[in-house]
Amino acid sequence: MKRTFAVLLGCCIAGLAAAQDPSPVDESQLIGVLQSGTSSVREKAAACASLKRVVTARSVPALTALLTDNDLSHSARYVLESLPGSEAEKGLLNALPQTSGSNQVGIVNSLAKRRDPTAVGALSKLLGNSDSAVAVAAAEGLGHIGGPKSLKSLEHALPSGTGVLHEAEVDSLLSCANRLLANGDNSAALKIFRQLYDHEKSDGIALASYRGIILASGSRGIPLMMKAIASGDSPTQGAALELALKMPGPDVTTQLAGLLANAPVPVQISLLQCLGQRGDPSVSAPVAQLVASSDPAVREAAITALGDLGDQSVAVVLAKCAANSTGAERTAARQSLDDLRHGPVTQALMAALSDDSPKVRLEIIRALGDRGDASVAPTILQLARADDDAISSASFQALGTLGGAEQVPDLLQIVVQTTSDDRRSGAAGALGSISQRLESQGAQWDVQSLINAVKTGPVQTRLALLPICSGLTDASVRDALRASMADPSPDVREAAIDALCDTHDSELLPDMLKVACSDPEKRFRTVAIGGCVRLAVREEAVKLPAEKKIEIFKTILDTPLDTAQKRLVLSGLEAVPNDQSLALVTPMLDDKSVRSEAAQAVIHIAGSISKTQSEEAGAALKKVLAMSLNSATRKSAEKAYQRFQ
Amino acid sequence: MKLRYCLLLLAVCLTASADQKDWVPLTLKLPSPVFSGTPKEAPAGVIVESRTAVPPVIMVPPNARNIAPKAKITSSDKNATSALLAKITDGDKEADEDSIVQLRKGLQWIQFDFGRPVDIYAIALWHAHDNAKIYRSVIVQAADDKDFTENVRTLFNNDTDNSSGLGAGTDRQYFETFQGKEINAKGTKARYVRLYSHGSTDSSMNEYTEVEIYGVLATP
Repeated sequence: MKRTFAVLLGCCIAGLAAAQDPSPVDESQLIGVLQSGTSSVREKAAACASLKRVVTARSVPALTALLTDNDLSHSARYVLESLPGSEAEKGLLNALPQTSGSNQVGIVNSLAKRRDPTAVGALSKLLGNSDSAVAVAAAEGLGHIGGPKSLKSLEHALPSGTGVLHEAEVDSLLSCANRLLANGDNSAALKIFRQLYDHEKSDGIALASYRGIILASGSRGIPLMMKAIASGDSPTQGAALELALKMPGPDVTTQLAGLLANAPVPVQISLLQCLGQRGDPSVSAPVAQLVASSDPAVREAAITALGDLGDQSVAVVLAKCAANSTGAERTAARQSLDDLRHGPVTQALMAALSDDSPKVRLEIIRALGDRGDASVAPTILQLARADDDAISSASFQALGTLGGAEQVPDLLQIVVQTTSDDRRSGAAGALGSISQRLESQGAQWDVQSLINAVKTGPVQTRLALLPICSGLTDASVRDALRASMADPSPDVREAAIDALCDTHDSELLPDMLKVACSDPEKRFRTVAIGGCVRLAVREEAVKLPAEKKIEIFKTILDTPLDTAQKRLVLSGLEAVPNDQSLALVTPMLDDKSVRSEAAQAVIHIAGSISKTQSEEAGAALKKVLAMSLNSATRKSAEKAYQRFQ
Repeated sequence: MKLRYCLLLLAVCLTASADQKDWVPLTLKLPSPVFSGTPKEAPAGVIVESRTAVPPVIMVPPNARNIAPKAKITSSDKNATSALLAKITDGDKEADEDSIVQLRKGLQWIQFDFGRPVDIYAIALWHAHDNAKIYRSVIVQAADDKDFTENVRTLFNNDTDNSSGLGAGTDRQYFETFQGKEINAKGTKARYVRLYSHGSTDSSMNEYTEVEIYGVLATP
């Protein structure tokens, strides 16, 4: 065993060496090595590996001589197996009776791999070999080579074979039959499949052979398939259900749908999945009937299949399912409602908006929103004004997805006029989503009327609309925000500062910095410091030079800060690694409240600037290492220092 | 004086532990696992939780429920509509594309507003378990104000280098799996809960499949 392993390893090493050696290889020299009485096993194995690249029929005698050598048979087969021509085949066949055990199995495998029919006779003789490994290899080899002679030998040997040999013979017969089927010889294939199905007991063989019978039977296979599905015999049923997906034709679909009503639950589920994947909408009616099944798994499978098959006629059925179910069934119903693509589904859903059940109406509104057909936005807007709060809320949600510039004035009007906090919030939420979408698309819309409402509307209106301003980049928005920050109402001021600190507009950075440094309220300062850090280092669209970023952080650091505020600034400085940021961070190591964060920032910055400002970086890292830190931070610092050194 | 204080403290502890006697283990309804095979390696230098270690059982009061669907959800990503954010609490935790809410890249958060302070005992979150990925800067905080400036309590923080500016965390990073991440909130009373992340080892985008917040809604 160890020896074989050593030889194999030698082959691999030699193979790799040969593959890497760009020098040309001379076949004659290699043959000489093989035939030499003084060459070692290792040298001969290496020669075989090299020979593989240049081998011709000239090498066959030298190689076949090695086939009986326990140490080199594998190396010789490595070359012969892929060498085209009758010489190699003959060489392998001649060596076959001179070998036994694993060498003989190896030669049988090589002959099988070459798939030359001239080997069939020799392999057939080995079916009766007393060494079961050889007999099994021969049976498998015959299956691999195939053809009428192989088939005859296997059929002849089948009744007498037992155990693993019998299994190998059956597998090979199935291979031969499947090859015949692929070549269009259905009658010959059918004969073998039938024989195996009739005589073999194993479920696996019954399934495989019945599958073959259906496929080889042409048009007569379809009734067989239907019969098997309707039967309770699990192997044939399994084979038939597997093929149900692949058998083409609308007739097959109709027949499969016809089996649905009386099939047991597991078969119903398989059929529903199969019909869903076949995607023929003509069978949606029998599928829809199973939405009322008493079995939850069948209901879910039917609902899911309807997503692929259904048209407008099942839209309301699905909405009712979603409204009256929970969990996986509701998820499936909602998904199918979103997936429906046959027929005028949107019109059917719109017509059903007058359904008596508010729960169903809610599901329809949700589906209309998710389906994304913007033509329904005016209708949904009307529903948003409905008395029912739930309908109104769902409509605002849908409008957030569907609405466009046309809905902005009406939504704004609702925000201004409504007395309900929920409706104001819903309408403002929809407006926010629409405005974000329009801005990202670069579309034209009436920003000014929104700004006018922010400037002149009642307090509640302004509170609802100010958050929308954070997503807009416009001179009039900046003015409105600045004016609102000076508003006498503390609520308006707070909303304006929140919007300011949430903005993506870099032109508002000075305003934000002012709040960060000098606002009397600590919470506003914290929010503004967070906003400054975000705009300076985290927003992709905002491009500031490093000096400007450092200047912002230095300005903030020059004011009294609490721990949370210092942490925010440290995260900003960490993102601008240079000598200036290091100079600002290093003294903060002395502040116990943020030592850990300052140490992390030093490690990061020093690591980034170690090549350009090595002295400063080294000194800062030394300072970190001199401090008492948790083990993870210390490890990072030590690693950075080692790298630096 | 000291003795009286100690006795009082002991009484409080005993009362608390007596109350907690009835607590039950938090059991989650898990989605189907979707990936198997050779586990991925964590990026160099990243210390992750052991994937074979069984997470500690979180005990919650018997009346604790998933109250996340009752909360108003907002996000730092202004493009995320309320309909989209609603999917984070719709109960669908499967790893399908349809179940996952995608947020902008960079540091982003989602926030839950319960309208009034609630007792929070556990938080379970699934970013996206369609692939073995590690989410960066996973931070979970509770606070009394919407801007997270007042009485902020950090329940989980694996942002070890303070890249998010919320403090250097000490929790470990972890691979996303169908089991999600359970965080013990230990009865924290708060109106707001915020979850941060900063992309993953797979993508700079932020994803949420589901968030469950187990707590008790106080009577208004």
